[in-house]
Amino acid sequence: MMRSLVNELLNDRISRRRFLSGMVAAGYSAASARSALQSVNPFTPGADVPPSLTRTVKGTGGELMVDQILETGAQYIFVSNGSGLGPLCDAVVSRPRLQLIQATHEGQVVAVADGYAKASGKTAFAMFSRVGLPHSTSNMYNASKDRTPLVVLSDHAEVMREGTDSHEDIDDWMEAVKQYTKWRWVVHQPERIPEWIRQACKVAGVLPCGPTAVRIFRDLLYRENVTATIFSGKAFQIPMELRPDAKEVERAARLLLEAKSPLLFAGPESSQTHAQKPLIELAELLGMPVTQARSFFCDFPNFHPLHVGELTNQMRYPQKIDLLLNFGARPATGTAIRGARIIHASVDPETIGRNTPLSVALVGDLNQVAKALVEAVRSMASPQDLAQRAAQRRAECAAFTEKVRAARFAAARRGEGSPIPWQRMMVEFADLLDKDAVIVEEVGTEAKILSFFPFAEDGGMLKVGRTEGRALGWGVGASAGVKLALPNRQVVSFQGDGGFLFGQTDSLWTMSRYDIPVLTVILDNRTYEETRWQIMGQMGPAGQNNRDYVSYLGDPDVSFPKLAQAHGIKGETVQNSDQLRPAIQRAIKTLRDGRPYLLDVRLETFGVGAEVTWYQKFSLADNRERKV
Amino acid sequence: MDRVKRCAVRLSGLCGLFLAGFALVAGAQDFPEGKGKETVESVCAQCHGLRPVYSSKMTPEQWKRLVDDMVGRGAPLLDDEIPVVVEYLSKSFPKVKSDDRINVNKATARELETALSLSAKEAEGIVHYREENGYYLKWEDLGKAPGLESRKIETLKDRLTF
Repeated sequence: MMRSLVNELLNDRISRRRFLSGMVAAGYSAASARSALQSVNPFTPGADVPPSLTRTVKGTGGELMVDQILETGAQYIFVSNGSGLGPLCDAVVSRPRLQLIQATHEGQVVAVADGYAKASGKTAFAMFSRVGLPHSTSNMYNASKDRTPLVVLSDHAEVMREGTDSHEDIDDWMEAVKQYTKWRWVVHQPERIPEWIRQACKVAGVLPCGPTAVRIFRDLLYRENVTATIFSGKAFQIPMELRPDAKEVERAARLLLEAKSPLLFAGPESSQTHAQKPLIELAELLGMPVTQARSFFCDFPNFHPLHVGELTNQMRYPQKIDLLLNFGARPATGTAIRGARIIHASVDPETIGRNTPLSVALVGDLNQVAKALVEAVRSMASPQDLAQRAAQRRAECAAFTEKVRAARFAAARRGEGSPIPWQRMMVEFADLLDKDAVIVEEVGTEAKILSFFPFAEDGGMLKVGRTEGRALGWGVGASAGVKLALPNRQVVSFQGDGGFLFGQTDSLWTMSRYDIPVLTVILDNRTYEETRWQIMGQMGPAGQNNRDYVSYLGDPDVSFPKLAQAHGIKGETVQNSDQLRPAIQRAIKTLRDGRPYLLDVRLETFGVGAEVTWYQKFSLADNRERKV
Repeated sequence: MDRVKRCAVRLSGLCGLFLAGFALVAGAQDFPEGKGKETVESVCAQCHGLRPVYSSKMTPEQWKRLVDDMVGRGAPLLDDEIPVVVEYLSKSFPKVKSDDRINVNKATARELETALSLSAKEAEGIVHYREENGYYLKWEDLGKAPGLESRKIETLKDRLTF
């Protein structure tokens, strides 16, 4: 609702008064609505902007585009090759502040930009040629599911050729990305290029964030002597911490205090709004166990004594849940919370109540919501009363999580030999990586990461990925973007061998070209393990007959270090658990020296079809009638 | 789609975070009695159906490695429970050597009863059907024998020859 109201306002289809009333009708408080209006205001038609925040610029369409991008505070623009980038290349000759980071194709351009945006919290800009848009959509879909702030730019047909089914053109390019973008526009007037860049940036960066797309006619980007107004970056940096409704906060706090067995379900909006600190305070205050929702971040410290893992249908602890506090995740479902009261806090009213009945809805910036809940809970009970309520739950939960974690690490350290048990590899990394390392992951089971690395906003590790969209082909490019955003933190990317081969080895080229020191670790079990489980585990004809049609990866047995070497990146294969530690140490040293590194770790595989190397063999060469 | 399968599909969506690959049909299989049964049923079913468990046949070492793998993926087992679970699974779902298998088209009812831990009635049903209708060609054919549940047959399939 908020998203559509902002769109309507920006496009001058509703008045500011209508915007305010619409926001209130959507569940926002009047103060929140005013705050949102203030944020959007400089971009609305006819808005008054102080002269110090604007300047008039004369140049080519491409120069105006770059000037406005620079004013947003952008340092990088992520690009691929294409003739449509001509105006951009011309403009940056005299604007070297904007650094181009190139990937070899549009899919990885968006992946790098997405990683950068997720890790930096800033809106990222990407640009590629007009025909590159279809190739980019897999990772645009990922970005839209994660609500990552991206602006995707491309050129467009010449003005007089649009709509004629001409060379490199179709009738409606934006239809193809409609599902993956919050907002999209084709720019028809050269003097309005900066205005649409601002809109795209603003809409992408307003919570809930998401990709936006702008196409600009190529001849307009080349048009000379265009005069336009550029807005200063200060006009974009407007804090917008919408406060929740006080009465609803009070109701929620009362329910939390009444609950015998409440459970916190932390989701990605908590991290996006930097709500972790007050959220920890709230959980500790109530002795409330915490579960992690699907998220590209770890939204509550996963080694905290109250963190019990994921929300499953049959929780071992807590066994009975009478209240679920969903904090920034998509709606939770499942038998474990059947009959429980649900409080859902989100920045997005569209998400709240979408498919679960609610006891209380809290709309607003989650940092503000968490702080307000802490304050309300404290105001309703004395410190002694609170301590008494929380003490037993906290002690029980801590005892459970401590034992489970100890068992997990002990089991992992028992694993040894060749092929290597994956969990043994993880504990070796956990021992050797920096305490504030960043883990970028695109492995099938996120618990492989969450079980072994301690993530926390305040001084701990940071997890980026896997995407909620789950479209493979994201992580390698994304890890390069993450390192660009956080150059002073160690960045390690964990990739399955199948995922690595999903059209993203190309991003090794980007890492090598720009000296981006990321360690790429391939979990190489020569199979798409989890799809094999799904397909053969159904025990249909394929499973019963040990037929592995699409998951086996051992033929050809790709040498990933040679692939890295072809890109000028050093790497090695690790065959045995004894070799892990020295290999990781060599990799870390190479990162410190400023170069990327690749470790190909040969892991064992389990479960249905693990021993099957059969696939549907076919040799075209043998089927030829002429040996040509 | 029957109710159990619908439930499994929902489970698959919910539990995909940790164990997407194992979230198959949530079986109502009666596991063999033994120490560790309850723990297996409650912990494994947190994230996935039980069919992958009773469909698997592994050596004790393979079960140990698989349980350690699952613990790494978040299965909330405690240190002292792990060996109990491994032992239970190893005894209940052992890997069968090919020479340990029994030919259902040649064995007597008594041999079937002993080798496959069947009741006398179940074993006699297999033999009776064979005598009336001819040889079994595949394990699913045993479903035609009176008194044998299809889920039970599936747990035995690796121990049969034809």
